[in-house]
Amino acid sequence: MKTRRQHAAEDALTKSRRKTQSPVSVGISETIPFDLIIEILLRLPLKSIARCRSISKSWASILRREDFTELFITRSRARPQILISCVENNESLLFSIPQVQKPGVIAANYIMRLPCTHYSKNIGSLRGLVCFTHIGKNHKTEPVICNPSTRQFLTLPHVKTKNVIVASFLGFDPIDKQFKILSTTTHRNCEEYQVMTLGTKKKMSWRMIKCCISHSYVQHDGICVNGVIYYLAGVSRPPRAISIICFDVRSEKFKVINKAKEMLLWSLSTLVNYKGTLGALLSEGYAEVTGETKCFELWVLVDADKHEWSKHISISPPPLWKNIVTEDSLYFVGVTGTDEIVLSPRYLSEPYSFYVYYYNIESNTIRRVEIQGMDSFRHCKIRLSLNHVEDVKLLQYI
Amino acid sequence: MSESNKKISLISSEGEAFEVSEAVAREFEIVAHMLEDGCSGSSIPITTVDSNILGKVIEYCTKHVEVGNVEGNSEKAEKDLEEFDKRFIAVEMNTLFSLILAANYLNVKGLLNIGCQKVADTIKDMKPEEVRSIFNIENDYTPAEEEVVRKENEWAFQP
Repeated sequence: MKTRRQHAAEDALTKSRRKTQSPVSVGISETIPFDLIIEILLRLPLKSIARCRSISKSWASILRREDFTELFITRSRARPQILISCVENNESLLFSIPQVQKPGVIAANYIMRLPCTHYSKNIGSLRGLVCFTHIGKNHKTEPVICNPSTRQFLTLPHVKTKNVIVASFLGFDPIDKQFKILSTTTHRNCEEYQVMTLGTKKKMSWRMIKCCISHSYVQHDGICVNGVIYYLAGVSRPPRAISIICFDVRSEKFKVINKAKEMLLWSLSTLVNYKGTLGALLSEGYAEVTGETKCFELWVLVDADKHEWSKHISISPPPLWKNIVTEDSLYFVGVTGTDEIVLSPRYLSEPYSFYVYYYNIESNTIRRVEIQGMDSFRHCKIRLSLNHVEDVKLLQYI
Repeated sequence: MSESNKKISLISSEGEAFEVSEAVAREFEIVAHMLEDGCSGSSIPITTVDSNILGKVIEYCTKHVEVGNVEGNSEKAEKDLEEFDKRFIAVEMNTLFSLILAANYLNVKGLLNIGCQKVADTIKDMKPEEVRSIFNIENDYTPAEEEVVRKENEWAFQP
């Protein structure tokens, strides 16, 4: 009988043989197997990848392959970025900075701008894509999906409602690898829920869905963690408090999670992805964090069905907090993979000064990073998204 | 005789024998697997790699085994190794491709990594025409098709 190792060795040999026998059918690459071309292309920056699409049809097809685009995302996860969106008049502008920062100064990397009309809102950034909604022609809410890594954007069909106030959320189903947008609105005292699956195989359109949990006052900042969209809303049935609505992106079913008794959850609290589970950052009952803030808490969901939470940590800001935060008025952005809570202002100030703050949970220290290069956008509303990755898949193939 | 002193001969495609320590030979994962499978012969034919390239791969593995054996002073050692890798991989394109192919066949992960990275660094700022000539790729787009693709990726052609 062969040992596992023997099998592994044989596998390795067959693999090498297979690799050398299935070359790309062009030029010198006759001797460069396909897998190696992929290995090389994976190491290119975005700009080079975009240029490589025009080398030949076979190279363009490699760059479209799902295994290639998946590997590219995986590699990109090792160097996550913070995506900064900034809304100015009729445009949304996108910038990025590396997420891992030492204290100091960094120039924001300008990515692209996309046209948005009124009330443009970033409704989520997931797996490299970012989605905005705006009020387009005919006063209808229109989502615009954008892939900053390929500089593409696409305006999607408008939400089917007469109401102009619509809350939308971007979600991703990790099993079917499918993006969906959920929109909720109230029309004539009647709540409406609709979903659109992104993809180009069929014409994209909104589907009305049912929700057995009557809820209103939906807050616009939701997040998607592991295939579930979470957002805050007022639930009509007892206990009639602000609760967390969960929407399973795959099954399209709603659930509600009540807060724990001692949780100071309110409509403007921040939901975060804490190491792959839902967390909530709460600060003395207010959304803003300032130099005067005395305490804030991180709660982590333990069991959604039992509405069970654990108070992960209660934070008393370190002594230097006030000196570092100074006059800034901050909001929670999220928690990084290295256990740092990121905070940022909501607007760029006049005169220009823009700092992103990192609070390290373990060492109870705070530092700030000065962001340069965005001084033409004073007064503009900004939104930061953590863990932004580069996805080279073209929007035509989502 | 301790195991680390055991010598193994690696035979190139021309039949030339390269005598290396077992530790160096084990850097070739393909050889490591053979040894673990009880292949006890002291000479192993590497029929797809010529003497020139095999010599270079052995040089790479020898250096990495040497540095791996030194205790302490890891930061300096790491820097030295980085410098070595940089010099080692600064070769002309044909040799570079041969090294990558050999590293892939012999399964020497570190070398495969720096080789692919070197090619990527070389082509990353090149025009499509230059990349085509390096890989000897035939442009199978019609001028009209190429124009469309270029237009779609226009941002990448700007400085």
